[in-house]
Amino acid sequence: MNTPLKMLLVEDNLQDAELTIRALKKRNLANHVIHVADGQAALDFLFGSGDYAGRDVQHQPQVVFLDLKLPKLNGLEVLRRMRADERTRRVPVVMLTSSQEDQDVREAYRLGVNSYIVKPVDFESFREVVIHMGSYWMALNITPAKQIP
Amino acid sequence: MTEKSFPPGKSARAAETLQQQRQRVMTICRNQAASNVTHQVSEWAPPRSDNTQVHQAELDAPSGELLRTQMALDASRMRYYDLYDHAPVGYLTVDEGGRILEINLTAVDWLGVVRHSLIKQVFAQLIAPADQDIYHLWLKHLLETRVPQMAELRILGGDKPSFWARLDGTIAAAECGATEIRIVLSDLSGRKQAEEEIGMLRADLRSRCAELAASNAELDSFSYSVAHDLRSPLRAVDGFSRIVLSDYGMQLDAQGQRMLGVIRSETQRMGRLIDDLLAFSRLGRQPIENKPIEMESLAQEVFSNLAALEPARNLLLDLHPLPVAYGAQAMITQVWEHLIGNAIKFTKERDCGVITIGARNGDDGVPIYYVQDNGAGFDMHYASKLFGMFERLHCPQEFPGAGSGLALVKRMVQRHDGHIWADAQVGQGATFSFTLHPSSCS
Repeated sequence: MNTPLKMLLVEDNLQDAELTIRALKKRNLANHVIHVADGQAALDFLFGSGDYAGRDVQHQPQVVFLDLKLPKLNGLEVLRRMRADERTRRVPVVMLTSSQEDQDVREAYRLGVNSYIVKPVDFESFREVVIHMGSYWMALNITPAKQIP
Repeated sequence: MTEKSFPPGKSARAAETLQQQRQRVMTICRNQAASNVTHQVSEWAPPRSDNTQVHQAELDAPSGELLRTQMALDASRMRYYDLYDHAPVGYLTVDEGGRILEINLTAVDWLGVVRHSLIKQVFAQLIAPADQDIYHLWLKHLLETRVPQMAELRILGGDKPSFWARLDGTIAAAECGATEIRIVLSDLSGRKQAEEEIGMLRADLRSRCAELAASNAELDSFSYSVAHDLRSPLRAVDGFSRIVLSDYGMQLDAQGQRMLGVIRSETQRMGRLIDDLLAFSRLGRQPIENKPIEMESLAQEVFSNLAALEPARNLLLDLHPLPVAYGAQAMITQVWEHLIGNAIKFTKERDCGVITIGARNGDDGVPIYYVQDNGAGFDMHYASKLFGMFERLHCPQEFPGAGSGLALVKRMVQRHDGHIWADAQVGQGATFSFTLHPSSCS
């Protein structure tokens, strides 16, 4: 399984996840999207444990779209752990969440998030945001070479 | 029967005053039996001479006048004692050492002790132990400065409980020259009770205000989380109905497509309502900053921005000088946006939408800003509904809008301790006036 990973979508709301993936698909940005529905599963995937034991952890996603409110481990905790580990420290994380609470924003940036986006209410704007972000992080943004020495 | 021998000779007699003579006579009279009195007096008749007639007359006359004077004096004395004893306040006189010399019945009554037992007593004994310091300091001050002094303290009431009293003391000199202190004692129980009641009422009011503030904060927080949580499923409804329309629309007839369209547009409307609710609740949670705001340039800027969004419209702004206001720039900008936006909206039936913005001085010197338009106006009958949340006075086909703009504006104005009101006539346009807190003190 050597296809390069593009995006890890960590979203517990299945409808939002579906809408996100559909929006990305329409622009061919969703070829390699892995969707997990809680914080623990996200970490399992990133570090090759649990259901994802044996995954090649050298291959990290090009970007992680992370929701804040998640069951088991919440988004900020996932972010913290990602930034604490050498293997995932440099992976871009975009918080895509409904929360506009200032303290959440501040905490996310303190923990090292790359971008913080509030999900628009109406689908049209939501779709546009997903497309913009998808294009930016997966097509425009440059990340270091995939292999980590 | 002893007789005083009277020194003979006119000179000796003249040396005595008539008063002294009378007193001597009265003394004799008192020492003798009544029956002998007249006899003795008549026996001792002063030697007749020209003067004696006068003397006799003068002896007779003063006793009558003396009696009248004595009676008048007694009456006067009684009257003053009455005034003194039954005054509505307590009178007492103490000496330099604080011992009671005199005390009126009113004070005696309050103290619940018999008058004679109080004389020569140290007044301090009657002061409540906790207030001894106050009394002694007051007394010291009085004696040192010789200027009238006042003190409020508790006095023991005998059988009755102690009561709050006011002492007004002045320095005076007794007939013999000694310093004495005249004190007026006033019963403050009534006032103290009223003060206590006020204190309790105030505490009650404070706690209720705190409760109210907490309850408001809870409500705000509740509205916020409700609005927040409603957004997520709304997005799903909106999104999926759109997908159905785009991916499966061609399988539906015109009617089906129209209905799906209704689902979408209603969803979006609901989204706006939620946004308005959120904005409204957020208003209560922000502290209001207090910076100066250039109202004139702000109003001009808002108008220009809004007018630019409607290039097809013919709009005219008549802007008068506006005084600087104090508050949160962001909020006041929104106030102008809503008011000017409404003015633009409701003048759309006019060839030229004329919007007049100005300020005039209110009765209390606080400036009143106003936005006047020549648009559709409204029926003043419904003016009270104007600022209600989601209330509308026109149907959406005539003029679009959710009905939350003015509710928001009202709340923003109120958070600045201001008021907002409107005057209008159907077909003659409307004027919206508002005030903000007057100065840089919030």
